[in-house]
Order: sequence, then C-alpha cells, then structure tokens
Amino acid sequence: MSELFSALGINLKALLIQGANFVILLAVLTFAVYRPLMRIVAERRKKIELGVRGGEEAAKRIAEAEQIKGEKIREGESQAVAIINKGEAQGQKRSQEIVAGAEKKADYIIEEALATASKKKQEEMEKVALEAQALVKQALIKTVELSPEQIDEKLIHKALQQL
Amino acid sequence: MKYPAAIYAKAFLEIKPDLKKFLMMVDKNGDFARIDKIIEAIESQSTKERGGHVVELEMARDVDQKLVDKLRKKFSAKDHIRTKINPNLIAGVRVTIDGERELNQSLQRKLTNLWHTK
Repeated sequence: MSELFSALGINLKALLIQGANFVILLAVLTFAVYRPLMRIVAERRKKIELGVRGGEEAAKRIAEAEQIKGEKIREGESQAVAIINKGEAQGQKRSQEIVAGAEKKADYIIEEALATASKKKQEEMEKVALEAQALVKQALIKTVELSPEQIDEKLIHKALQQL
Repeated sequence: MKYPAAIYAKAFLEIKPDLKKFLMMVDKNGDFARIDKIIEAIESQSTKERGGHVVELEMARDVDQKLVDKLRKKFSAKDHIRTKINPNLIAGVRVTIDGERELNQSLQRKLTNLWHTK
C-alpha cells in the first residue's frame, strides 16, 4: 500500500496529517462559522417573514380601515343630508309660522288702527253734533226770548188737548 | 237728616199735632233745612188719603194766569196742584202726575226728540 503511494508520489503520512488538518478545519469552521451564520440567516429569514406578514396584516388592516372609513363617510354624508333636509324642513316650517304670526299680528294692528280711527271719528262726530246741538239750542232760546208768550201758549194748548 | 220726609208726613197726618210744636220737633231733630220736602210729603200723603193726585205743572217762566187756570181746571178738586218754574224747559209746560205719569210739552223735550230722531 505504502509502495503504491510511494509509486504515485504521495506521502501517506503527510496525507494523513493533511486529512486530519482538513477534518479539524472543517470542524472548526462548522462550529465557529457555519452554524452561527446559519442561525443568523434563519433569524433574519424569520424577521423578514414576520415583517412580510406584518406588512400584509397592516395592508389588510389599512384596507379594512379604508373600507370602514368609506362606510363611515357615506353614513356621515347620508346623516348630514338627513340633518340638512330635516333642518331645511324645520326652518321652512318655522319661517312659515313666523310669516303667519307676523301676518296675523299685522292684521290685528290694522284692525286696531281701523277701530281706533273709527272710534276717533265717531267721537269727533259726536263732539261736533253736541256742539251743533248746543248752538241750535242757544239760537232757539234766543228766538224764544223774542216772543216767549206765543210759544208757551201754543205748547200749553197742545198739553190741554192731550190732558 | 234724622228721619225721611215721608216719616214726618205720616206722623203729622196721623197725630195731627199743633203746627208750632211740629215745627219745633223738626228743628230739634236738625231737619228744618228740609222743611220744604217735608211739607211736600205732607201734601202728597194727604192728597192720596183723600183719593186725589199730586199734579206738578212746570213752566219755563211765569205765564198768563188764564192759561194756568185752564190747566188747573183739567184736574179735580181732590187733586193737589203745584206750579214750578224751570228755565231748562226753554218754553212750554211739563205736567207730572203722582211723580209717575208725565206729559211733556216743553221745547226742551222737542229738541231732545229732534236730536234723537234719525
């Protein structure tokens, strides 16, 4: 065997030593480099997977949030439209009430003014009538004073006829 | 006023006291200021007792006595006739019987009727 190696130019002893060196180097590299490196890679992959999953989750949640936001906006819009419609209806009703009240009040004021004017006119007419009556009475008294006997006689004769 | 005129009249007609004593009693009661009313009440009650009426003739001024006599003749001897001057009548006469019935032939009434006729 050793002759074969010698014939091939291989030093068996050196080959064994080189083999032992290789095994030792492989063991050292396995424990010192490969395994830690593989652990780091595995951790890294795990982190990336987590990140990817988190991103997907976040995207999903964002989508859900967008959907909810859209729904809320639509709901808010419909509520706002309903509130605006209600407010418009109430405002219209209130304005109609105010206008009706104002018209009623205006009618009342006009009626009052007309009644007051009519009353004043009536009072003025009564006053004028009283003054006219007083003037006529005074004129009659003056006329009667000119010849009272004749008027007295005539009126007393009328009374005598009625008695 | 201590007593109404009607009470004095009733007392006077029932008791028929001496006139002087009656007047003193009225004065003592503090009612002498109303003696005209008391006399009117006595006249009214005594007229009613004998079945007559109290007639009041109101005129605006003193008129011819003949006219007044004509008016007086329209009533019986039982009636008591009072005459009064009331210038507010302006002219004519107002006859009131027992303070209830009235015949108003005065110019004042005619004017009032004129004002109230529409």
